[in-house]
Amino acid sequence: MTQTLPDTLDDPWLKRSRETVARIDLAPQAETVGRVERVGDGIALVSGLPDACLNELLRFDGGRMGFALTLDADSIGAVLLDDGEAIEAGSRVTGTGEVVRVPVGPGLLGRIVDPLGRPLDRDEPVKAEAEMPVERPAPAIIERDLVSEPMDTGILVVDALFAVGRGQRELIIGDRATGKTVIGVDTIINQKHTDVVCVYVAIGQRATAVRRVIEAVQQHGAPERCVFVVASAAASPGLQWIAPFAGFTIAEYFRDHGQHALVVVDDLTKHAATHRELALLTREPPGREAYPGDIFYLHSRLLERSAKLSPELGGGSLTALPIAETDAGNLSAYIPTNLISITDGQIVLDSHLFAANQRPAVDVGLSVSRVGGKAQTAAMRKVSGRVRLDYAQFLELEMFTRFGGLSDSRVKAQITRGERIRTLITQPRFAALRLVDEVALLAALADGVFDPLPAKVIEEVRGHVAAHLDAHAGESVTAVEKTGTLDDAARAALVSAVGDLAKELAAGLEPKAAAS
Amino acid sequence: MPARKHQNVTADGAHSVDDTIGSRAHEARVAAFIDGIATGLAKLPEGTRASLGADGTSVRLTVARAVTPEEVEACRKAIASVLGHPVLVDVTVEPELIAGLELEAPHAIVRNSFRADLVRLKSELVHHDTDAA
Repeated sequence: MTQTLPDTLDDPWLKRSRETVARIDLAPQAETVGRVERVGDGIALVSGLPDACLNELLRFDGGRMGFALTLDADSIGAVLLDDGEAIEAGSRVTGTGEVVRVPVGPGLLGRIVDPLGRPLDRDEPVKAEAEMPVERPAPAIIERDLVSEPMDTGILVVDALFAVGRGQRELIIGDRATGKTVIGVDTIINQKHTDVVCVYVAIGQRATAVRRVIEAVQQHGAPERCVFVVASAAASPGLQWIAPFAGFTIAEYFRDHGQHALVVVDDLTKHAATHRELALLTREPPGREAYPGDIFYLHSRLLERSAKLSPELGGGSLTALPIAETDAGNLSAYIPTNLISITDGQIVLDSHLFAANQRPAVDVGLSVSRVGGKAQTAAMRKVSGRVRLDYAQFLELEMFTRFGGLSDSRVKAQITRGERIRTLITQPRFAALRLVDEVALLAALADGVFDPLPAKVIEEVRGHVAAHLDAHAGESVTAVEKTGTLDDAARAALVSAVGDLAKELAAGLEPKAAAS
Repeated sequence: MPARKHQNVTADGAHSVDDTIGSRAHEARVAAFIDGIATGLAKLPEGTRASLGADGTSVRLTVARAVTPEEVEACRKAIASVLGHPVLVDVTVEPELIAGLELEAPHAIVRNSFRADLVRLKSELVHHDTDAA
């Protein structure tokens, strides 16, 4: 015998549930289903589902998911987002009416996730604020603002010569093992003291390499403001394909909330290879280097999503540092030329410079930032103006000095200055410089402070400059950091402090130098 | 063993429906759902409807109880009238449907059964609860 308790009649859950039941229309249900005709290499050819949309998420038997990459008259080329071992020919496929989405929000910070937002670091689920489509339109022209704020990398050669602005897309390109990832990771680490949220996207990378990156950020940076989106070499091609899009969506959440985000995509050459693999398997016609015709559009629509938003939209920014790999320094290959033309500049790394122990191995002649000075602070602009020209002239002169001695004192001075620039821009890993340190070093360089000094002393100065400036030119340091400008008094104070440090270190190193 | 026990319980439950509702309702467990299957079929895209059973393949009709040849013919006629071409029907009995019919072809499924309704109710209630949480 059942008993009705009067106080349960008004239970909100009961009321809600009854309302839900009353709303449900129990009419006959009709659904179209697809059938797997062929499956392999991360691709399933599906028949049926005539109403499926492009990029629609498809559900396979056993709960496996995929999305529609190509739509033909009577079949769909679906990319599997999980391994396809459990999917058999003839098994059922249903449309979801949804596109691929990824969780977004502050809950992702500090987490390592796959491109669908599933945690890879620990069992604890990701606390998402919302789920957003991985493919989102880039901000319209009217929604954008000019790129004018610097995104400090802490790497002197980049900040001084190829400044990156917030909202810019700067390609990092070079042969394998030339330090491309290092520049991206050092930039992430340098955001430890800024308000920038960083997203590192690994595409087709070795798991050990990804682990090294994560450990570097955990040891030296601010991992609590970073998100790692990992589709390693062992992940399905589908996951690797959506990885950069997912990374951008995660970063866009912060951009759209008025914050500043940085995405490092490591790397788009592997992403292009994955796209080519999927395109060939879905029988899209191959073009140059067997890439399909939409390879340019694929990367341009991705990178267009990085932007500096207008003040009306909160003024947030999304900066992209895509990485691309070249073969034997060939910048005119298909993917490198595409990416160079899409981005707002490139930092070119040279294997010969790397072998000569000049790191970061930035090729100053081939690198460029199309935003450049507009994204530099006034202080940096003031002191970095001549460095590139001086260094370029030095590199040319250095070629000639190999054939004989120098007699002209002006040429000798140029060679001396160039060698000091080279020493100064050779910077070890995890030794990021603050803006004011960079300004002080460049001002000292311009004033000839380093000209009489041996390379070893300059390296020591670079290592100790931050602490020394704080101790001996505190007011000027504060002024530069607060205003971003450099007046004559502050400049003199900084140069004097660097000069004193150089003298101290030169005196300390002299006996050693003599002994060696 | 537990799985088998579950099956028996479900089958017993279905039989008990038969025992409880009597012979008139026994007829209604199929006949009352034929029009619904036709309505559901009409909702499918035209291309899918045209392909159903067009090349001589049969469609699978799942029913809640054993059906008479007259009932099968009535179903076949209703389906053919919507599809616009004759169709072969393979009948399978699944008491778990409780009452109603379900039609399955390689590229389409039409459900008009109490089981489908209960699944829908459960799914909506769970979804509703998850949203509220």
